[in-house]
Amino acid sequence: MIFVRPASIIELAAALAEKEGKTILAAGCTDILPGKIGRPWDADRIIDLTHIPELQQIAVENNELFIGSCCTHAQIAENGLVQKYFKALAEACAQVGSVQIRNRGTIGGNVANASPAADTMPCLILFGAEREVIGENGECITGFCLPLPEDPSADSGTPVSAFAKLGDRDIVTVARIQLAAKSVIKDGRLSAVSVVLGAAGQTPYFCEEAAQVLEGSRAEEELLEPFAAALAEAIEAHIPGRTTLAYKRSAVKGPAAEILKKLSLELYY
Amino acid sequence: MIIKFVLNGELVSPDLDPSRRLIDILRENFFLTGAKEGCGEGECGSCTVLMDGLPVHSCLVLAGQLEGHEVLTVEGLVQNGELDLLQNAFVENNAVHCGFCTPGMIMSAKGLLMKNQDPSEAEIREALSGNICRCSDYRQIVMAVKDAAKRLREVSL
Ligand SMILES: Cc1cc2nc3c(=O)[nH]c(=O)nc-3n(C[C@H](O)[C@H](O)[C@H](O)COP(=O)(O)OP(=O)(O)OC[C@H]3O[C@@H](n4cnc5c(N)ncnc54)[C@H](O)[C@@H]3O)c2cc1C
Repeated sequence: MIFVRPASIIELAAALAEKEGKTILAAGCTDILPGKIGRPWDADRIIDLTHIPELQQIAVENNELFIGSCCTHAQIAENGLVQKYFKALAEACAQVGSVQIRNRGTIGGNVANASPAADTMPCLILFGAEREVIGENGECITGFCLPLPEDPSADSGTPVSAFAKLGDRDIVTVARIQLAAKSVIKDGRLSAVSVVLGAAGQTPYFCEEAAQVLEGSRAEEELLEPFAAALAEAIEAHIPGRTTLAYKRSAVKGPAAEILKKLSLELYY
Repeated sequence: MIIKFVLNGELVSPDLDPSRRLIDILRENFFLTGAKEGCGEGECGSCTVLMDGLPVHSCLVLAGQLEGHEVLTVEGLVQNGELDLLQNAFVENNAVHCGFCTPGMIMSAKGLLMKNQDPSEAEIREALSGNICRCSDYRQIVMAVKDAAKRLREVSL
């Protein structure tokens, strides 16, 4: 087994360009290593991504927030810029696995592993994140660029967002449903609402009808029924006939209520 | 591959297969058997150690990733043959039953107390939510951590 530990993007690019048989990219290893006790590697080479400072950066660049692919969930959840501009993502990262998982698991690994229950995905989609990659086939993610919302002003309003996750347990749980929403508060009302549903289909998707229910509102409690109904319809359209459909149609009310509550708190405080 | 890292306060540079897991290195190369393999999947937390002060699963870290890092295991808490304040709190609060999960529990609690010397019960439970105990009661464990936090605050006054 060849083990390569690049210390910069340049060294990483050079390592990726070398053809050394089957290669595994290793970040936090929280998806790669579970269950690997005593089992041989199905690879000839491991490229470690955890010693490259550029991949661990969170910084504003040209009206975008760059989040390096090797930033851990804990780092993202605690980052002031993420909390300020992309609260839903901070909330999602704060709910990934346990403390130990959040201290190692990375956003790049979460996306590359491509689980339908990956908690960062609905938020990255909600915020229109673009992935940056390197390698001949773009096989290595270096980071994500999230367009910054406009600075709050009377004209543009105050950007807000929220994330809710439903699992089998309250914490340390795999998502059965994720809901992420963003909006701008203008004249005390929600405007430009977008809603993304996750873990309710192969990939997360926007739910325009549910967003319409909240548009122009003050996230009043009475909206829960129509909001949840619109989400249930979207779920039905994405997983028709699936055994989990009946459960998800009804259970979506939980995260829907949480999102309404979080948005209404933003409106009043 | 020679891998240089700090283990329980001492700089070490063993020649290791970088694709092995940290838990195997600790147990088989350094004979530090405090960290236990429960599930090998990051679910049970009994292999928890601190890496640069943060709780991590030693079953989910590759030896090759240790270069330049600091690892603290439950053995490293003992100073001059004396148990750490947190370990004593576990003993005195009967927070140990079969003991298999204890080193992991203690290291998760240590990670919390290094950041926060006055955690609420909710914060303690959150910090320990990745550590499973199958035979005793979580109440004594939470009490032990509260007790340790209190003593720590007294010592640092
Ligand atoms: C107990 C437990 C609980 C968990 N709970 C959750 C949860 O609540 N929510 C959730 O979403 N996930 C959860 N996970 C899954 C996992 O922790 C996350 O998906 C994590 O973000 C994976 O990141 P990593 O750095 O550990 O990836 P790794 O295991 O290092 O890699 C995962 C895959 O991605 C590839 N990869 C890694 N980085 C890159 C990159 N930069 N470019 C291209 N490919 C790359 C690897 O080659 C590999 O195929 C859990 C896992 C465990 C074991």
